[in-house]
Amino acid sequence: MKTNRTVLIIVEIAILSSLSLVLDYLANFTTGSLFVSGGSISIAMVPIMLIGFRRGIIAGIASGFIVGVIQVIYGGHILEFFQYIFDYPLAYTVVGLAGVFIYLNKKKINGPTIVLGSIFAGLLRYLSHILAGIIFWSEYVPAEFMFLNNRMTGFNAYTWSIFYNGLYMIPSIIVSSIVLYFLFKYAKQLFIVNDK
Amino acid sequence: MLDNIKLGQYLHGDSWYYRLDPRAKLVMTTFFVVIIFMANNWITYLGATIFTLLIIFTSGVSLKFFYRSIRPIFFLIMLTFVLNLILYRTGEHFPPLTINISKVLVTGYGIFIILLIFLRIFKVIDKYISGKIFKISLLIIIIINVVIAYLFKNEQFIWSFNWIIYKGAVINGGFVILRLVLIISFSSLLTFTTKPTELTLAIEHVLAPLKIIKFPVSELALMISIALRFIPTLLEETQKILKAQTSRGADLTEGNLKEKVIQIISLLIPMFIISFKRAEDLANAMEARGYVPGKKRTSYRILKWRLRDTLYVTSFVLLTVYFIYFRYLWK
Repeated sequence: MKTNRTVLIIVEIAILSSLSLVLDYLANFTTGSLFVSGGSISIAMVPIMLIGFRRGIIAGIASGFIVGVIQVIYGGHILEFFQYIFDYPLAYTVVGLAGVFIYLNKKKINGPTIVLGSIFAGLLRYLSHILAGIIFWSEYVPAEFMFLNNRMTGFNAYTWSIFYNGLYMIPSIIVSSIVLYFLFKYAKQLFIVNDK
Repeated sequence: MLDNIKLGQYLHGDSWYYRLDPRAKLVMTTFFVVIIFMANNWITYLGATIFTLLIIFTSGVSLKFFYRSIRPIFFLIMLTFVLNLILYRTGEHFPPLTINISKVLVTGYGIFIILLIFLRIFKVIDKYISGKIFKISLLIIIIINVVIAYLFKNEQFIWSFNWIIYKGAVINGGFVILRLVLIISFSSLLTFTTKPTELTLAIEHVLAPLKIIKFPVSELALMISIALRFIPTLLEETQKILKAQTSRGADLTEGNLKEKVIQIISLLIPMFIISFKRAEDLANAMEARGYVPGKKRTSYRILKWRLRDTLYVTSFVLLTVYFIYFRYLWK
């Protein structure tokens, strides 16, 4: 039976977004308590990236945006307006850009495209979390300050944000790209659509 | 394992706040998060606190739920307070706090820390230091302090300094804590009292102006609704596959990184296949019922703007006027 592609794509985006949220809950069960101000090592990015590879970057971006919005609806850590935008909707939206490397590779998917694409998208999300951290912390920590007669430099919003977000983002990026690579190796049909 | 996952934060209940139009709640909560930054002195913060407390007490949501949503960020809040104590250095200050560190003190703590590490290594203390151990440690540290201070009165200090805490720092830090607590309470109140489906509808309405630039707002809202609807279903499926793979000998909690990745993949491949299958079924079902993307659709739920919503919005306008008056005009 011939299905209208647009409807199928809409539904695939929706269901993979909800799979991403499910994987995020599973991760929160194992590592959530380690991080005081949110964030966890999780493979929640995998479905968003997969839809980005399968249906192109617009579908990926839509999926990321939906995951971000649902995190908002379900209640996340809100401390400041722009911190919220950067930490939730934007952070997940950029994950959808994973598929961008396919366009550079003459629309062909292979192992390196997937690893590069997922690392690229993961780093964009990391950047978004870093910006959110800087927006929040720069209000409280100047670049240089005096503590107990000592001049403190280096401990500022930038280093803190890069360090803290790196703690969970870097393992997440590594695990996600490895998982995507093996998914591609064992189940190519997930990445390549064959519509008759 | 997955039975006690609570999806979302919605609490069943009924009060005027529950009955408000979700659009009014969503927009005004965002508005509150923005305008709270206008508060800069005790009278504006007092106004904001009374306003928030009035809404919270009449909303019918138990205070313990607000405490629960603040608790995970407690450490962050305290950190901002401590940073304020360190960084704020103008105006009057309290008598300086003299901190003296001597060789004996350093040795005492060193021995204590080594002891703790040994106890950890030989599994005398649990893997995670429990609250009881933490309290006992604090007590021992205080005892060490007192004993050393008594026994080594004439010891030379190797490091001695005055820590000056400014009055402004305590006030400023207090304001920061208050602001964070108010923001967290207000945003939690929104998710406590509004169903995810209602919020999705509200988001659709709020984003509606973007339709002019051909942004597919209603398709996006539809996708959000479908995603919300499928979260419990997919959780259940995940549970089934986890059980099936466990019965084959897979264990997600054991093994090194490579084994773990393989086990995650053994979970993910069936999950993705099920998801795509369900997507195809749902797409067929939607088409059979005449869904055409981009066409105008009617909604099952219709939002109705009432007098109470206008009053609610008005109260925020008044709060803003109050903020502006006491920030800029009042001396």
